[in-house]
Amino acid sequence: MSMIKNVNNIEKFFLKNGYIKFKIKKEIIDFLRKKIIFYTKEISGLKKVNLEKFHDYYEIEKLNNLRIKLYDKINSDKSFNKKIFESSSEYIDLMVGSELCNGNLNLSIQYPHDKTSILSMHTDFFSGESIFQVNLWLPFVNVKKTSSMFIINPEKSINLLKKIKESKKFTMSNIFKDNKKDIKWLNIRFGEGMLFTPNCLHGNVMNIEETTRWSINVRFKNLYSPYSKIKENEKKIGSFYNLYTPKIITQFNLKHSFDEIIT
Amino acid sequence: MKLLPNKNLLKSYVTNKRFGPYYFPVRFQNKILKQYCEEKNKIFSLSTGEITFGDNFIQLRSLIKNLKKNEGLVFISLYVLPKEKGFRSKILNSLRVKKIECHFIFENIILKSNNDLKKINSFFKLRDFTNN
Repeated sequence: MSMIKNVNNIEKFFLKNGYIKFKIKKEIIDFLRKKIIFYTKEISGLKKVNLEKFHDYYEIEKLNNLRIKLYDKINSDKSFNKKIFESSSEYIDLMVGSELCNGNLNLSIQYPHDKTSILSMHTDFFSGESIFQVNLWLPFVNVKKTSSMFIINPEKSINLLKKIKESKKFTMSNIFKDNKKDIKWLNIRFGEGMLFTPNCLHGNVMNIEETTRWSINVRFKNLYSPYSKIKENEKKIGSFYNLYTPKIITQFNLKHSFDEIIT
Repeated sequence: MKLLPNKNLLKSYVTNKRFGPYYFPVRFQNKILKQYCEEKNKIFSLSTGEITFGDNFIQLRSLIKNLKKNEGLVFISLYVLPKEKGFRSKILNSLRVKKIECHFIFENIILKSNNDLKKINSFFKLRDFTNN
């Protein structure tokens, strides 16, 4: 049974806005941040790491290389992965259930005034990802306005997506510029997490705040909810989503080939 | 920090659907595009992916519109362009008008001149003649 209070309020808020924010247990977020700092020191050779002010002393030219190495480290660290899931498992259960597949952990490091790490307005199903997934977004510093990400609520997203689908006249940048008033900046404090539906248009712009953003995002979906209808698209289990928390009956059927009898 | 337009930079464009007789997952398209750029001594810029629904090529049109002077494009194949001839010609012509250098890896064609544009049109005609 869920330990979350106010499930009805969460449901109402999510249906209207496409996201929820929640507090993460201190020992979990501290563990995760310490690990990020530990790996950053190990890779960079730096003795001290201040995440917020990292741009002040680590050259931008070396940043992508660091990010790729950190990506490998955190994705191969089982305890890190487990804590990421634990940070929000009850909310994920509320959203998509408990028999899950997931994506890899993605790490963003966005320096102030860095034009190269902009992720323009999009939805994840642009590339064939399932519309039945939720994305967990965890910052390791306080984020606000342009150091964070934006989202457009479901109703407005649908209207814009119709325009994106049908118009041969508009470009993505036109649409973004014309609808800036509809974007909601997600101000999140360190120690909070967010789950959002990536069906809603979302993205970021150049960070013009004074701090570097460090955040992790990861997709979760129910193993048996629908995947892309495009037959050849690879955004499926085994090629994009990883089997994460299979229930006993799934494990049973993986072990014993009853499925071959009925085909 | 201000980044200046770079004449050696190729912006890449990928598709998440079948293109002509091919299908390549995006991460493999990216690997091929990146390797091609390295071999040609060009700077690879991470790809823009076309949306999987609709057929208005909004991402490709947006990419072309936002290209800076001297930046080029790289595609894995001519088949990632629109299937419909009129729409494809409109896009190819806009690339020529803006003098954007375009590389198509599978067909080994670089669009730089009107002559190259003719080559591309002939490619599609020949494929039609031979039902391929």
